[in-house]
Amino acid sequence: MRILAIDDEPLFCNLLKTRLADLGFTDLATAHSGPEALDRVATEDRPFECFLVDIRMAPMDGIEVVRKLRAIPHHQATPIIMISALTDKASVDSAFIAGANDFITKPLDSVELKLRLEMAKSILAERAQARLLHDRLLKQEATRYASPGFDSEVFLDDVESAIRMVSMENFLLKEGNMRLRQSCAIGFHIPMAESYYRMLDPAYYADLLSDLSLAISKALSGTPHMLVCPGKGDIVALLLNQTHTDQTRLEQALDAELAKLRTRYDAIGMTLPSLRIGEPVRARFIPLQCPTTLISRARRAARGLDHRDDDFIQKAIA
Amino acid sequence: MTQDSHTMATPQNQTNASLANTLHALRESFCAGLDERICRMETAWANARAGHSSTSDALAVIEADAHRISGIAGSLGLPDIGQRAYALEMRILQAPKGALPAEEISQLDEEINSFLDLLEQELSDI
Repeated sequence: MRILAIDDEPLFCNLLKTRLADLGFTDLATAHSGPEALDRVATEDRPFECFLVDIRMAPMDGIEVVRKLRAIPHHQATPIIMISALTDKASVDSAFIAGANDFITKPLDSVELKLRLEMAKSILAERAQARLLHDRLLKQEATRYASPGFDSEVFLDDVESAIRMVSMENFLLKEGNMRLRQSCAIGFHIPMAESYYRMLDPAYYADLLSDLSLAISKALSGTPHMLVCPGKGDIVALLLNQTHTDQTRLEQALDAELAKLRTRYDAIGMTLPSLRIGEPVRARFIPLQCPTTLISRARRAARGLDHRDDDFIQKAIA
Repeated sequence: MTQDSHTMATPQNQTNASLANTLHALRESFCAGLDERICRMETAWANARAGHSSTSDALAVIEADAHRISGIAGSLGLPDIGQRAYALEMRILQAPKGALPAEEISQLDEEINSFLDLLEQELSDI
């Protein structure tokens, strides 16, 4: 895996190089500033496959670097791992919103470093598989059995606030329960999703979810949030630093966005499915040991199911 | 025949030795640069105390250096320095903004000097 580490402390870059080589990741390049890194990315013949980015740098901070990397079409899905000191935690939210997939805290811990990089490798493998499928679709060779299943996650590359499920889970686990108490999750569910999935080509079904997610994102504009589309016609929004949501206002804003979308769909003779909104699920009600339960509860709330039996929730949604 | 496994030149032992050597070299490099960092923080703070520059500018310099030290010292096997740098960084970040009361400056003075003493002690131990 070809890695670019971006940190304005040369000594830290050298340390990273040593640690990563020890873990078997020997293909590492370094840059000591955001502009230098972007320059390397633009001129490198062999594209980088993973970025390790320090948050606090001058003149361009790590969050801006992430935004600029994500604006490069080739790197829209390249794994980006932030490296931050504990004091940068407030910036970590912004980094995830900008498109980071994960973060590692300083001082470096070899076990953590290895785990995070293995995660990056799995994202790469997933991406390679998605690309393969995309190529097949282009060649009209895709068949129903080869396409992502109804239960599989849908990647919303066109929606700015959308991230991968694995990134949201990483975010929730890393944030810890105390900070999560300031956040809440809202689930959205398409009641007829499976019928649409069976009726449409997989690419059109993904477009439909992308359109609905964009409508949700617009309805939530002004509220920092992240979106995932974990499968089975569900979309989950994680609202950051937001313990109270005006549900009526959200519903009205979403209705307005869906009305605009419906006009577009009507014009091409398609029926826009309805979208069910769940009650917001707040982290303070979640058992302390499992912050990712927030996602499954939000999904369940959107389906109008009972919140109490977590085992049942996990089985039903898994 | 018995042989102490710790002395066997296995590939794993060689790798570990090589890693230890590299880390040692990086640590020496960190310590070599410590003098410059100490000097920068001392100068900034002394200038502020003498009224030649603003306290907030001096604290920004010290906080930035403490941040960098806290980021790397722990990873180089200097956990005390890393933790103390982190504590000082947090202390400065949490200090009230704007003009500080004399008591606050006095406390900061004590904490900054104590941290600089620790760094100098580390230098003298090399």
